[in-house]
Amino acid sequence: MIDIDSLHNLERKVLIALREFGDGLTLNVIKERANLSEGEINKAIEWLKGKGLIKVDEDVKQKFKLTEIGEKCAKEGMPEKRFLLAIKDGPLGFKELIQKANLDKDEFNSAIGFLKEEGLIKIEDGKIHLTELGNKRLQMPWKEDKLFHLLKDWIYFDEIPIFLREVVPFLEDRGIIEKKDSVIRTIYLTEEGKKILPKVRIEDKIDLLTPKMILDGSWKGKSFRKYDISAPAPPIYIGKKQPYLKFVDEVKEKLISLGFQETKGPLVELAFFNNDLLFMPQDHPAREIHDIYFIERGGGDLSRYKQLLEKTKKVHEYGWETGSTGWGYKFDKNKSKDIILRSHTTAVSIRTLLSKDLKIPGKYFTIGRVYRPDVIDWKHLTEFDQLDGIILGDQMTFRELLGVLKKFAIEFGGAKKVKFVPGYFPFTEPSVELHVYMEGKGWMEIGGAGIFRPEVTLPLGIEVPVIAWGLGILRLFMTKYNIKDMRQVFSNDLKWLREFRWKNANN
Amino acid sequence: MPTIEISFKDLKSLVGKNLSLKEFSQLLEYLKAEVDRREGDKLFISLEDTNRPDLWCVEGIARMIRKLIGKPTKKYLAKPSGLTVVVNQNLRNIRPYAACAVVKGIKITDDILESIIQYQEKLAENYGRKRSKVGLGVYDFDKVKGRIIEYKGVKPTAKFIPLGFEEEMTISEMLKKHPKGEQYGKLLEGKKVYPAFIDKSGEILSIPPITNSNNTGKVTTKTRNLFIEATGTDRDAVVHALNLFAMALAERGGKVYSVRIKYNAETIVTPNFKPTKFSIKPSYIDTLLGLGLTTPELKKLLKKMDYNIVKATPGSDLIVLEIPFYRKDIMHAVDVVEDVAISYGYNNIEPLEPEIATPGKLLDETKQNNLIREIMIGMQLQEVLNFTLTSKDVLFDKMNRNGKTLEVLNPISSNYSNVRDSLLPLVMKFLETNKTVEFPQKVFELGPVVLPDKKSYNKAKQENHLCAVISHSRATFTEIKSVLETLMKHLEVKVKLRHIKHPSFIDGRCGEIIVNRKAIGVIGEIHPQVLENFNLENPVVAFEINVDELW
Repeated sequence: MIDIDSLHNLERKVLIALREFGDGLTLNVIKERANLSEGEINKAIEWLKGKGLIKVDEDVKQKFKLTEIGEKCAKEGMPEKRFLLAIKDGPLGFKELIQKANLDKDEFNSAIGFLKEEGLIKIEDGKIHLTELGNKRLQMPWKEDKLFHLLKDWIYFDEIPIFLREVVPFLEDRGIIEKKDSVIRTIYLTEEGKKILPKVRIEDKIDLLTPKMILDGSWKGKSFRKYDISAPAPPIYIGKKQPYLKFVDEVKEKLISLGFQETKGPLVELAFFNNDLLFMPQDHPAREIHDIYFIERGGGDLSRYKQLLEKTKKVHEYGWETGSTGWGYKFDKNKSKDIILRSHTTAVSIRTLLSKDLKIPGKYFTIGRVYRPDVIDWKHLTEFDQLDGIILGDQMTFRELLGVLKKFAIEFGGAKKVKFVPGYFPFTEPSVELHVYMEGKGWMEIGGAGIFRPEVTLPLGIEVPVIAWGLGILRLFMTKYNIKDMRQVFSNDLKWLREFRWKNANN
Repeated sequence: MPTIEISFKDLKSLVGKNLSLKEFSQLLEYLKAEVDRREGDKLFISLEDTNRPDLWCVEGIARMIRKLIGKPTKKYLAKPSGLTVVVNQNLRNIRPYAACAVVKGIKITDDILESIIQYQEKLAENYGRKRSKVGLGVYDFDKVKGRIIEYKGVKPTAKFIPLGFEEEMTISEMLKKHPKGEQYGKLLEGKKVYPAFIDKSGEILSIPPITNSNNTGKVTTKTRNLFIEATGTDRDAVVHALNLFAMALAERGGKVYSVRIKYNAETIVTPNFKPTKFSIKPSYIDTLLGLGLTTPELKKLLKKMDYNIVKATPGSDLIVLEIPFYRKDIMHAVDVVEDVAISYGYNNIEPLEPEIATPGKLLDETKQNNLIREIMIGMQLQEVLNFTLTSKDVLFDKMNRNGKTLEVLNPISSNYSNVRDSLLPLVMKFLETNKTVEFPQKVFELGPVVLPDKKSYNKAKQENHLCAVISHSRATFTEIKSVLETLMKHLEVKVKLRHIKHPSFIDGRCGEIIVNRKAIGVIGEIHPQVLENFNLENPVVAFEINVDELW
C-alpha cells in the first residue's frame, strides 16, 4: 500500500483531475484541467506509473492540418471553384482566366486537367468554356470549404464530421493538407489508485527546500513532503584505475617496501641488448627460445658500445676471459644491430647492469611490455607485461634467489605452496622455474630465474653474483582475480571496467 | 623447445623399472622436461633445454633416469669397423664434413624403427638447423659394398634410385620429384656438384641431406646391421650429432663400430665417446650455492649426474672430473654447479632471505604519471589499457591522417603490425567497441607511444602520452577543455591553445596545446568523418598530450 504522504503535489493534481473529471482522460485533457506544464505532467505521470497508481494506454492516431497551399485555399476557395466561377459569365482565354481566378501556374495546371476529365469544361477556339455539367457543379455545395476552418490547427481524423471525411484523401493528394502520427496517451487508475483516490488532497507541504526558504524562514511551521526513499536512483560511473594497472601499482609499492629500485628501458631495442649480451647465440636453437618481432635488420647504431660489442663477440665465439668455452661459432656484429621489439624485460636488467648509476650491492626491478609473434588466444598474447628483477651483491647465492622467489610467490601470487623446478635459460646458471600451488587450480608456473652466467656479467665488468628473475605479472593478476582469458586484461569492454570489483580477489 | 613422442611402455622397459606416471614426471624435472599430454600409452614430452640434444629421444631420457634412480648405465665403446670414408675436397664450400659409424646386431621392431627415425629428424631439424648445419642418414650396412666409401660431390646428371621410388633418375629430377627434394632442395640450390656417398661398386648410397638410395637406404625390421652418417657445415656439430645417434642405437642393444674419416690432411675416427677432463673448485661451487657441501658430498652428487670423478681429495680445493661426451652443454664451471644443485634437489635447498638493505624507489616518471592518473580519475574518467601494436588502418586511415610509424617486418596479423605513435586512434577504437554501452563515456589512457626517429640509435623515440576522450549526445569542446585545464591547474602548468588544422578534428574546433612555448599535444572535437569511420553515433571530444614535456 502506497503512503499518501509521499505523493508529490504534481501527482496529487493529476489524481484529483481524474477524480473530478472521470477515469480514462487523455494526457492533454488532464494537463489542461489540472493546469500543469508539459514538463510537470510528464514527470507526474512517470512517478505515478512507477508507484503503480495509474496505467497509461498508448494509441497512435492520425492528425491533419492545412499546408501553406491549404491556407490560400481556405482564404480564396478551392482552385477548381475559382476556375469555374471565372468562366461563369462567358468563356475566357488562358491568360485572362488565370488572372481573373487568381491562380498560380501549378493550381491552374492541376485544375484544368481535373475539370476536363470530369467534363466540367471544354476548350474551343483557344478559349475555355463552362459546360452544362460545369454549370450544375457550381450550383452544388463545396465540402472542402467546410473542412478548411476545422483544419486550421491539428485535428484528429475522428474529430472530422463523418460526411466530410471522404474528401480528406483528395486534399492530402493535392498537398492541401498534411498528416502526422500522434501518440494519444490515456490515463486509467489502477485498483491501488482507485483505493487511495478519495484521500488525495492538495497539501501545503514543502517539496524542495530552497535557499530562499532558508533565508526568509518561510519553512517554519510547515511540514515536508515525505520522500519515497526506496525509489531507484540513477547509477554513477566513477573514475577508476584500470584493474590490472592498479594491481601493477600495488606490486610496485610492495617491491619498493622490499628495497627495490625501479628501472626502465626502451620498447624498441637492439638485438645486442635483448640477445647478445645475454649470451643467446645468434645461430642456435637456444635463440629460438622465443621468436622476435623485427623492425629493421642491422639498422641500429652501436658505435657507443664498440668495445663491449667486441668483447661480446669474443665471449660468444670462445668465451673470452670468462672461463667459458663459448658457443664456438662465428659471431656476426651486424645481427647485434637488428632493431627489434624487446622480447623480455631481461633486456632492461642488462641495461641496468650497464648503467653508470648502478650500485653494488643493489636491488632493481622493472615492469614493462614485451613482444612475441604468437597467435592470440585465451592464453597467448602477442604483447604482454613482465616483471624482471635483479639483486647483486657479494653474498648472493642460489639460496637467496630461492628465498626471493618464495617471498614473491606468497606476497604477489597469494600462493600457499611453492615448488622449484630446474629450468633452462641461456643467460642463467643455475636456472630455476617457480611453480606455485593455487587452491582449485593445482600447480602452475609463474616465472623463471637464475644466477646470471659469467659470460653475461664479466663483459659488463660485474664480478659479484647477480641473481635474476622474471615473473609473468599478468598471470599473477589473472590468478588473483580469477580471470581465465588473458585477452580480458587488455579488454576493450567498458562494461567490465565499470563493473570490476576489487573485492573479487582470491586473497 | 623440442617435443618428442614416446611409448611409456618402451620407456619403462628401457629403464628396467615399472615407474608410475607420477614418478616419471617427477624424474623428468631433473631433465628440465615435462609430460605435455598423454594419449593412452603415448606420451608427448617437451624438453626445455635446447642445449641437451642427448635427451631428445626415449633412449636418452631412459639413460638419465637409470642414472638418477641408481641403476647401472651403459659404457659406450666403439671398436674399429675397418671401414674408411674418404672425404673429397670438392665439397669444401658445399657440405665439407662427415662423421660415420657402423652399428651391428640391433633387433629392430616397428617401435624402435619409429623411435630411431624420430630422433634422426629431431637432431636434423633442431640441432641441425633444418638439416643445413647437420643432417643424418641410416643405411642397411649389409648392402653397402667394399671397405671404402667415398663422400664427394657428383654432377647433377648423376643417376640413382631415390628412397621410395622404383625408377632411376638424375639428381636434378630427384630434387623436383622427391618429397624431401622439394623440402630441402633449397640447401643445394645453385651448387655445381651435389654431395654423395658412393660405395666401392660406384653406386650412389645417398645425396645428403636430401635422401638415400632406395637400395641401401631402406631400413626395415629385417635389417640387423646399420651404417649411419652425419654430414654438414660445422665439424664439431656433425661429430656430436653422430655420437648421440650412435649412443641411442647402443642403448637399443646395438654394438657400435668406428669409421675412419679421411680428410685431405688428417684422419679422424668417429664416433668419439671420449669424456673431457674438467676441474672445479668446491669453494666456487659454494660461492654460488651457499650449501657448504663437503668434497665427499659433492662427489656423490656429481656421480649421480653421470660425471666420472678422477680426483677429489678431501681438504683440497680441487675436484677433477670427466664430463661425458654427450654433455656438450657444459661450457663453464657454472654448468657443473647447476648439476650439483639439481642433484641435491632444488626443493631440498633451504631458501634464505637476502640480507641487503637498500632504499626502494619508484622512477620519477612513474610518480609523475601516477599523479596525472589520480587527477584524471578524480574527474570521473575511467582508465583504459590498450595494446601498443595495432593496424595502419586504425592509426591512419580511420583517423583521416597520413603518416608512417614503426612497422614490424614479421607480423602475425595486420591487426598487430604497427607500433602506435598516438593513443587517440586506439581510444577511438575502444569507443567503437563500446558504442552500445551506457553514455556518457569518459575514458583516458596513459602509456608509451613510439615515433620514428632516424637520428636515434634505434630509429625510435619513445614518449609517454595521455589521451582523454568524452563522448555523449551533447559532448562539447568546452567539456574536454575543462578536463585539460583542471589537470594543468593541479600540475601547476600554464597552458595555452592555438588554432590548428588537424585532419582528425573539426576545423575551427581544434587547437594545439602549448606549454612553455612548445606544442605538446592537440585538443578538439573529432571530425564526423572520423566518427563515421569508427561507426560512432555520438560526438566525441578529446585531447592527447606528451606528458614527458610537463616536468
